[in-house]
Amino acid sequence: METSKRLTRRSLLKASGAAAISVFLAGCSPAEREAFFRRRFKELTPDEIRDMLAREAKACSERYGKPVTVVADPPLEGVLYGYGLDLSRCIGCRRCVYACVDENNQSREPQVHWIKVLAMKKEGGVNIMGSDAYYNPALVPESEYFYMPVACQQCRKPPCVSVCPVKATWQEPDGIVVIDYNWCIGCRCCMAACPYDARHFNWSEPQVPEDKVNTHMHYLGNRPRPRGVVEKCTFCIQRVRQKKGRYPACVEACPVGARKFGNLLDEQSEMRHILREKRVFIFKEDLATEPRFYYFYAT
Amino acid sequence: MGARRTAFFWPPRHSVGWACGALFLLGWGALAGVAGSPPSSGPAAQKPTTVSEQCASETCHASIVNRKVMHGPVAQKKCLECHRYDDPAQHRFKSAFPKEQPCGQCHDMKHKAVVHQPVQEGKCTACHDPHGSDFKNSLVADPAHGLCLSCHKQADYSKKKFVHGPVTTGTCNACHEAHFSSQPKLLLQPARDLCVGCHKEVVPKTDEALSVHAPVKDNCVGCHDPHASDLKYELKQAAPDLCFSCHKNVKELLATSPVVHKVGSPEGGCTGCHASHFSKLRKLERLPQPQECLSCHDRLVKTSDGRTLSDMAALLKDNPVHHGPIRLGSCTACHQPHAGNRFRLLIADYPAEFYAPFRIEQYELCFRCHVPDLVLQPRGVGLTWFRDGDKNLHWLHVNQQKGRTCRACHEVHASQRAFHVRESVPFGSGGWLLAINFKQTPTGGSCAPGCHAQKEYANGGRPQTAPAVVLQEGVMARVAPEPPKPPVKPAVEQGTGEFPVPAPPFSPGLFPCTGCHDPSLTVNAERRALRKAHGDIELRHDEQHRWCLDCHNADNRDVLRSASGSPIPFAESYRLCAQCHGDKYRDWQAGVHGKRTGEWDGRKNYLLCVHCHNPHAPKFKPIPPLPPPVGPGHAE
Repeated sequence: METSKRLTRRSLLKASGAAAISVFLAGCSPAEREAFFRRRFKELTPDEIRDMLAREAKACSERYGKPVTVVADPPLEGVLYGYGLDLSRCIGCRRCVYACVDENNQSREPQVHWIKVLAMKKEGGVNIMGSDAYYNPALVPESEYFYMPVACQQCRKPPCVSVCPVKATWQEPDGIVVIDYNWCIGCRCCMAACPYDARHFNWSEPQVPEDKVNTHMHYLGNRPRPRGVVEKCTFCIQRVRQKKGRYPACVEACPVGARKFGNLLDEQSEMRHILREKRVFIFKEDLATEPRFYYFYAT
Repeated sequence: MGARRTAFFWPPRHSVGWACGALFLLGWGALAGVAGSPPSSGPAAQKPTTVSEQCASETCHASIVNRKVMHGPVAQKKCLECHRYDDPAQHRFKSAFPKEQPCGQCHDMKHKAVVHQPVQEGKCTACHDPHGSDFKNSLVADPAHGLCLSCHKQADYSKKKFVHGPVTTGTCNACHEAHFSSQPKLLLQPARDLCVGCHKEVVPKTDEALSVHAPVKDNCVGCHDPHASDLKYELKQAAPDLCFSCHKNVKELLATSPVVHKVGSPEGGCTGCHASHFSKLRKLERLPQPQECLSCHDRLVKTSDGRTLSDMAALLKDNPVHHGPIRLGSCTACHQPHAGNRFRLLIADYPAEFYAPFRIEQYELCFRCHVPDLVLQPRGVGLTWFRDGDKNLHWLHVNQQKGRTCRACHEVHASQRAFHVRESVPFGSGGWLLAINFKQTPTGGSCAPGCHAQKEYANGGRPQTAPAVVLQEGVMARVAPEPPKPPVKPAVEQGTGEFPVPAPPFSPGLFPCTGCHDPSLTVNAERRALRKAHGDIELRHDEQHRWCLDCHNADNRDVLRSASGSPIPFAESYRLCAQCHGDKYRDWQAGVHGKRTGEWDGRKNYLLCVHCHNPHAPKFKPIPPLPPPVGPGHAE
């Protein structure tokens, strides 16, 4: 009888927890409150998505001082993206790396690069242990090296997706593995699972100069990431998910035409031609991740 | 002299000596000039008789220290830096420095090639006041108002109508050094650099100048007076005399020719048609032909001998079928632009009379382009469609006692009907217009002129693709100063898509090749070091087996040639490359070889092979990589 009136540890925690939450929520704007209580991306109704994109666009516009559009274009029907990279052409110039940084609003400080170009001795073949990502000669290509750019392989059986404890990353019907940055808890299990070192963690607040921001953003792609989440290549989802869509930025930037991109379901696409005609291999085939990223030798 | 000296140095207790130094003597006039009213020579402070370092006071040398700009030692009141006591008792001084280099102790004048005369002679004080003045750099007078003019009297340009900006404001030093220079005339920079430093508009950008006037490259003052002139743009002479000072051949042509184009004559001017500095067109033409010519001939033009020339603009507008040279933009294919011997300034012989017995040399004008066999062969089927069966009707009309000239039946500029056939011919003195009544039918045609009764002819029908007339080999390139660009529609033979390719990346000013490779240039197929032209080409493309004419067409340089000798336009050069590199060609068609831009499921942008590969050395040159990522232990 007396105990019910007494202040127990449980009731104290309850009360102080409720108080903390109400204080926190009182300090939030309505937009932040909505974002906090948002459901997972795939459960949102079209109306909710529209409101959410408008909120995101407004926040980004204010943050960078220029009009920003944020879209969430859904996957196209009958499209399965595939990527080809001609190892016999790549000269290791890293133009793709920086085109990707500019297109996808990657953090300049601390530095995040979605593409990593590995230089390997020709005599050793594809040997990751003997590769060097930090080569810096005056001129490339160096005659005894070949170069192998690596980014997300967009696996058909992505280990990063299966390990995510909160289902913040998933594979879309068009094959692109995406991340909901608002749902990611930053546990970095996916980074440990990825055999291609393709995922990158934002250890501190990403810095993108205002004049360098790409204002055409996709919600699941190149919108600015918060601190403490994981990000990776999305095949430039903001470009390719449009009818008559543009090629990914790295494809357009490549000065030697080593990078190819197309729809694997389209008989006429470049990718199908490559798979038909060229010597193709997939990276770390033995891990059964089944990438949609094909390395090939055109000559 | 004594009074002025007294005014300046006045130390009344002691007489003033002459020996106060060359410096003082030289600077005097100027000093007195700027010192304002001289101090009264009345009873004032006594000259000191002992060594003193305090020279300037209210009573002595007061004017020296009241200047806007003061010489350093004066400002610091260190008069003895420059003046040395010769005889303190007499208050007599001498200069501390040698006469020929009075200021050189401090102001190091390292002489270059060209030295201003006062500097050479040590007369620094001709321009500078050694103590100070009211003008910049302690000059004795305002440079904007006559400092330079005090010696350079010929440089008084105030009477000229047009004066160069810096001269007007007296800013001689905008162009000239005051002391010495490595350039002639004491210029700050080489003359042309100096001019284009301000007049940037006369320097062509690489993509907008096919022709540049030679003096623009190194000799602006060849035409322009750098200071002033009575002519606009400070020209040294009026056009055309100015132009004739170099272009003597044109002057001679105009002086000696019976027929002179009015704009080319002295009362006209060269700049009506030619730009002065540079042009996107050849020969510094202002506009492409025929617009250039139509800028005057868009109205009836009276000639000096009283004839009236047609309104050519209206003629071309009203008559849709234009003669080839006009279509290709070349009035000068038939007419001399400056002067000539023939009527209507024609460049080659053509009978002025309407009826003229046929002699091929009389018709040279037409047969510069058209094949003479058109009229020389009585029979033949491949020459012209004006034939009845295989009977050549051109031959029939021309080869008569009373032969007709070409223009009896054909318009020379533009017409309503096909083949430039005229509506009518002016006949006789009464002004009768003799109608020709030409009709074209699917299998031939008919005429019903005043010359004869209606006659018909049959040629079996003309295929749409065949040319109307047979032209001499390479004539198109010869006629046109700017031949039309090769078609930009490459149309790949196999594959379904159409591949629009951007225009070939020619080096500026190089194409059309026939601009230099005209028939007068003999073909040299020898493997050799290229000296006269194309010296920059280093062949690294199967050079063991190939040489220029394996890919370039000796018969018509404006196209390439396939291995079998058939012409390939530059805009479709991939067909040439495909002969050896078939695998690359197939990949390129599929969109797998080459830089890929455009839309992944739509229109892809294709490039020619030569947009990426130098056709003479196709292997890529190495390029510097972008910086490596920041990494542990690798940050350099």
